[in-house]
Amino acid sequence: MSKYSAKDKISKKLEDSIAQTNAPLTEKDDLTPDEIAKLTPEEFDFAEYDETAAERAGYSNYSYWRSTIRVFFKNKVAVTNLVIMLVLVLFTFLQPLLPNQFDPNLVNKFDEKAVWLIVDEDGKAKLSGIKYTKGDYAAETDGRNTTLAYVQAPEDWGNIKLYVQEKGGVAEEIAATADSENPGWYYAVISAEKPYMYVTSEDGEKTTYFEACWITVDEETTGVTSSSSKQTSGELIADVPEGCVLTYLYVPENWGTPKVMAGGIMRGSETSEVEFTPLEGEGNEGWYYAFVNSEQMMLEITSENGEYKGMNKGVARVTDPTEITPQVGFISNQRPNEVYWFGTNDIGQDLWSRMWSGTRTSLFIGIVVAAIEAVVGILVGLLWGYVRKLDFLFTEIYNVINNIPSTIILILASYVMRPSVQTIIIAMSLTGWIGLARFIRNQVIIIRDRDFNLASRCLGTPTRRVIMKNLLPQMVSVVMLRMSLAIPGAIGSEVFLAYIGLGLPISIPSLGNLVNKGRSLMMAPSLRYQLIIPAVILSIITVCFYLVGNAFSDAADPKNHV
Amino acid sequence: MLVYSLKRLGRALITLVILITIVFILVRAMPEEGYFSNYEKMSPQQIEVGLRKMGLKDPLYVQVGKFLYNALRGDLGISYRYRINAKITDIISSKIGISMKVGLISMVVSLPLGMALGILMARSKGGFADKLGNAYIVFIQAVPNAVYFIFIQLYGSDLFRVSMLYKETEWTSLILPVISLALPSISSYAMWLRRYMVDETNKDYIKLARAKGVPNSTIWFRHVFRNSVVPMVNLIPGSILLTISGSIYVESLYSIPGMGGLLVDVIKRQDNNMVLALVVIFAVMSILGLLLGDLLMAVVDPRISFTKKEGSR
Repeated sequence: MSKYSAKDKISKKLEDSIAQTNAPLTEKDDLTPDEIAKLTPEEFDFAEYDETAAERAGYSNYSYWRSTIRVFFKNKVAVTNLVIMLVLVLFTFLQPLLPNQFDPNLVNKFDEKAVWLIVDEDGKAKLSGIKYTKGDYAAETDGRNTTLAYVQAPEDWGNIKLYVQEKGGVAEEIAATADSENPGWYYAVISAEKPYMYVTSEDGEKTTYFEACWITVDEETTGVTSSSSKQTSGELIADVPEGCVLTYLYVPENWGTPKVMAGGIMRGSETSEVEFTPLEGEGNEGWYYAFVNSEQMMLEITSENGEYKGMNKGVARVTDPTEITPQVGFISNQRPNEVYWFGTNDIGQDLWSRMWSGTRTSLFIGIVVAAIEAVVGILVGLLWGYVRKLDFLFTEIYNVINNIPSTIILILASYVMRPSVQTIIIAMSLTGWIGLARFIRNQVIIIRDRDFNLASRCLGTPTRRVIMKNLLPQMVSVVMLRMSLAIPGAIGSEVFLAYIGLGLPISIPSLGNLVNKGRSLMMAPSLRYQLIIPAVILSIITVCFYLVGNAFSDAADPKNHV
Repeated sequence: MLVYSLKRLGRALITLVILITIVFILVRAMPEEGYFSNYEKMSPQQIEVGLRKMGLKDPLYVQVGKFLYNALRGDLGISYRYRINAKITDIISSKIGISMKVGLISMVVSLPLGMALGILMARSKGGFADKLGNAYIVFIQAVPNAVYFIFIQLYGSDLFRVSMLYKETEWTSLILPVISLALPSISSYAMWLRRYMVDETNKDYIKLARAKGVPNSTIWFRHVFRNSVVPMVNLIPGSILLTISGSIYVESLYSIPGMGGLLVDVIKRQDNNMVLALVVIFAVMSILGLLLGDLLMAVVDPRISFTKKEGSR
């Protein structure tokens, strides 16, 4: 604490300043005659206007934009979002330049001359017509008499062996050539005469073809499924009696030990009970096995207490090895896999490239709409605010337009014009600018006659500088807020238009198209990826733009620059 | 007050006439096939005669005049494609009730919830509840409602074990549409109320009240809340009236046979007369909503001066 009170301080300061002002008067009243003689006429010229000198008093090394950026970067959430947004936008525009990208409108079809067989750890073989290998085909085939088969097996299978046979015939080994371009892939030409193929590992221990059968009962639907691909772990049960089929059976835990009645294929044929033994070994919980006579292969499965019953009969039969035959048709509704990263849609278009192409379209629409809104809004707003005579006219126009719901204008404009990117942009730009123009007008009217602007004008600051330094910083905040809302808004309107059937044609992918397509498939749970992927990406984009815009608008507000 | 109301009413009427004219011109620019149910099979002469009979060859101002005259007498024309040769007023009258029911229920749900959330957020400004509420508002505002509505329908029907589509006999089928409609309204009520309340707390008279030692609860409910609720009044008539037009998106998503779904239907079938009638009705509702909101504001808030040219805006 000072020893003087506030009042003392002020009176002391006053006294000092009075003393200072009076000092030169008492010392020297006027120039001496010698000094007057030294004066030159130039010293009495008017001083030129010097911008730096005029502004010197009020300005330090403060820079508006540097300050804005500094405030913005203090906001950690906004910075994170900015990074996500930049990465997304950058990737969206770089995606077509990446290697191995599909055309978004290309309808992909299964290859007619080759098939791809993927064997998993359990020895299950999956046949597919999707081209998993890169480069040209290793051998020439016509797809009718001969088919090129590519095979991929787990690494520990070693150099795989391929066996082909006729239906129910004797297996014959054929050569599997390792594909030099695609490590892990083997190929062989399969003739149509012996189209059934199975794969074994180098030592013959593991195989895709088992002379056994696996029957499962679903807990919810009690549906019975029979399959010949291995589903239990460990070795198969050896020494199967002649004329019998090794059958594995899985029932839900609450069924207890299953009771199985075996019968012939013919209706009303004799039935006999088959005793199933629990299977030992890890991962085999719920599995039972038995040797089923191949004459009585239809199995009726009931739970221990008879409470549950299999909906249909199981079939204890060894199925043939995988038939190698070219797949036909569109590669439609494939779930995401290594070739089609986001899967394909119902006509076989690659959703990965459609996704990014759609994001490009939607971002383009959003950015153009926001830019038009900003330019028109600022121009009209400045005119509205500065030219007092136009105020009444503009206010009336504003009242009319503002009274009409913008959704209605959007729908009507899109209804009247043909659907295209331009139509959507025009329809969305029709009303957006009016809100911004009003904001700008209000700001201009408020700030125009503020004291600091009067002071600037008195000091002779040019209008350009007044606008740039005094007006613009006050508006950046509002303009940015409106832009940040306009981009997600435009993307949302596009989705809405697509939904009510006024959106872009299907040949121009957009986020709206994709979401709408996904929505029409949402009742099929296995196809929901077509809805969820675009919806998630759309949400990330809109939320990022919104948050970044909001944060930047807060940062740009001069009130927050302290 | 009277002068202000009349002025405001006059402006609304002018807006309406301008709007109807614009919509009229736009819809008349559409292909002629939107006026016939069997356009493909008709000869050019038949089309010519048909158009003349409907008065579509008259000069535009005659058409607009006729439309306005008929509309004032409660006749909005005839639908030619959506339901052949049915009176549009008949089609619409059966749908308004359903839209209003859904809309009003969701408003009754969302108004108290939204206000409660707004108060909660304002009172814990900067705290956890405020941040959580803000995240919710940001999500609702930024993500197009078309997207989250789909997910509400998809997972909501599993969660509540209710039907995915509207059924007249089952009240439970209204749960999901009401939730869908309420979520955005709650966020907007909460956002505005929070903003008004925060603004109010920064005012000098509140500081004075605090300095005088007025209890916190009195400050919040006697001063802050009461003063910030006034601008909210502006929104309410609009919201009630807009329930008539229904939500275009929600209604067609849940197949609710209301007004919003109807607009989508008639656009898909290109029924020009129906589009015109519906757009006019929707516009009238929104203009009327704003008008009533302004008038109600003027009644509730004595500070709004009636002599000022700009009115409440």
